[in-house]
Amino acid sequence: MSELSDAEKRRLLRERRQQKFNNGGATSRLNKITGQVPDSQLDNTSPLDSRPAPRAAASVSGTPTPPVSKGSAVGNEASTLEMDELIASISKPASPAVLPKKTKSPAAPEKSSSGSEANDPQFDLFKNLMNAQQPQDGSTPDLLSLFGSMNGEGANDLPNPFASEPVDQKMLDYHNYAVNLLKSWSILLKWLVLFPYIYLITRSSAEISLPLPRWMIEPSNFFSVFIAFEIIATSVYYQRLQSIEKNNKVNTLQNSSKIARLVSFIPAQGLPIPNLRGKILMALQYWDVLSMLITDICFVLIAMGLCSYL
Amino acid sequence: MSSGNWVIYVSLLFVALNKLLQYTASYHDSWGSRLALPNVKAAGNKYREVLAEHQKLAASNRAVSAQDDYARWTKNNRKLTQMENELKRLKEQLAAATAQNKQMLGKLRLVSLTLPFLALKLWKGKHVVFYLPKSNVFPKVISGVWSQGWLYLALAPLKLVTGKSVVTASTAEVGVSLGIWLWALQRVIDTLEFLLKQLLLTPAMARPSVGEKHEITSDKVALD
Repeated sequence: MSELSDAEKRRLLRERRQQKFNNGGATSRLNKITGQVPDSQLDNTSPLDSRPAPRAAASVSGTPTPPVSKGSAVGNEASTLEMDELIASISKPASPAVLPKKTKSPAAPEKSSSGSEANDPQFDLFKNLMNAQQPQDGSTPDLLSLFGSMNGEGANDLPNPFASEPVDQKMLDYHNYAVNLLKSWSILLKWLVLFPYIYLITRSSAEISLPLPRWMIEPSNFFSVFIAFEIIATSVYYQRLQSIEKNNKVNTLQNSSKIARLVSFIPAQGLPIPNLRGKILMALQYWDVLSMLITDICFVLIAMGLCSYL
Repeated sequence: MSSGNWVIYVSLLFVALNKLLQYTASYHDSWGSRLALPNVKAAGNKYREVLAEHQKLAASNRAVSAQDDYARWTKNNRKLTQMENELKRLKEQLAAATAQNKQMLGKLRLVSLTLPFLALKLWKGKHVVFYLPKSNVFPKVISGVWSQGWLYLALAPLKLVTGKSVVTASTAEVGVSLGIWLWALQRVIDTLEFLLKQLLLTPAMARPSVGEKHEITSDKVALD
């Protein structure tokens, strides 16, 4: 053993492992490890069992290839790749990019249900559920995603609240903190700009000796200037919000609004109004903008009152 | 305006009182217990009495040897159990009395604060708090809302239907009515609270490290 090179050692080990996997019984091995009872309701089939062994398929077709052969370098490479993908898919949530790659790889076996698996309706159900949630989450199926897959995936175009990735609570706290900080700074800056402007508006033009354009301090133009300022400020705010959401990978509305959470319980189909969920979420988004505008108008009113007494 | 200034002062007082009650909400319970209304006081005194007796008896029973003086010890023990039950009952009574007082104080607040404020808003809702510096600062529809309240907006479609011009607000001077002014004031105060809370009272938070990904980076295998 000691005179073998590193590459050979690795190859030997890989072949041994491959042989062990090909012998079948992966599910029972998995059950032994996880301590699941055989008649468990959870899906306990090993992913190794759900794919037909390439070597077994080859032997069926009539050309029995020896399990250890120097010549099958390509097959060996493919199995390595497959193994790595398998481990990666187990240890992290399967990204959608992995799946097409699998089917593209030349020696990778086709993922087709065959034999006894196809005949078992219960197995099919579990498999369907697993497939439905595979793009979102590779871990054990949780109740919400089960509901999500039962809910009828007819409306794929609308943002499905169930489909959003589970967000780490710490990250969510930080995100809420960042969003609130952004909001408070934007309000503060807006008010700091608006207050002197309101003061100028309340004074008669003769009192003002600042070199400002006439149209700006004309009271009749106040509302237009105010609305233009609001539009610019709100778009800057939204841009910053989007970048925070992108950095933290958290959707603010879906994670912090109670109404948005309630909305997620509305069934996707079977209601007189199509896409009710999406519409309510959109209304919430618009309300967010509108409430900021209303708050600023309130501030303008109060500040005008103050300035008129000053 | 000067003759009706009391309306503004009274409403400001109501707003201030409401805010004060809101900020001190965490102290209300301890204040209530210090206030000691008669029913709570009686229940509390009874409870304290029995508790002192219980403690005394328990201390004396600890001095008695259960083996040497079995009869006395058992008698005391039975009495202690009885007292414990009574203490439990008294505690419940005390809790009920406190809850009753709390309810009463809530009603008092409704009668003395919330309802008068509401009545003032309804009665003097159109009282002009101040006049806008220029009548053309806001569009006429919005000016109409400022001077006549939300009802103006609600009645606007009706005016359209009857053929009257929506923009009938007085163009000479636009006043801001009390209802609108109070609404704006409360909103501004709430936002100021939010600003203070976020910018001064919330401790800065560091970005949590994202969980490391389990990816295979090397292809090395340890042989046994």
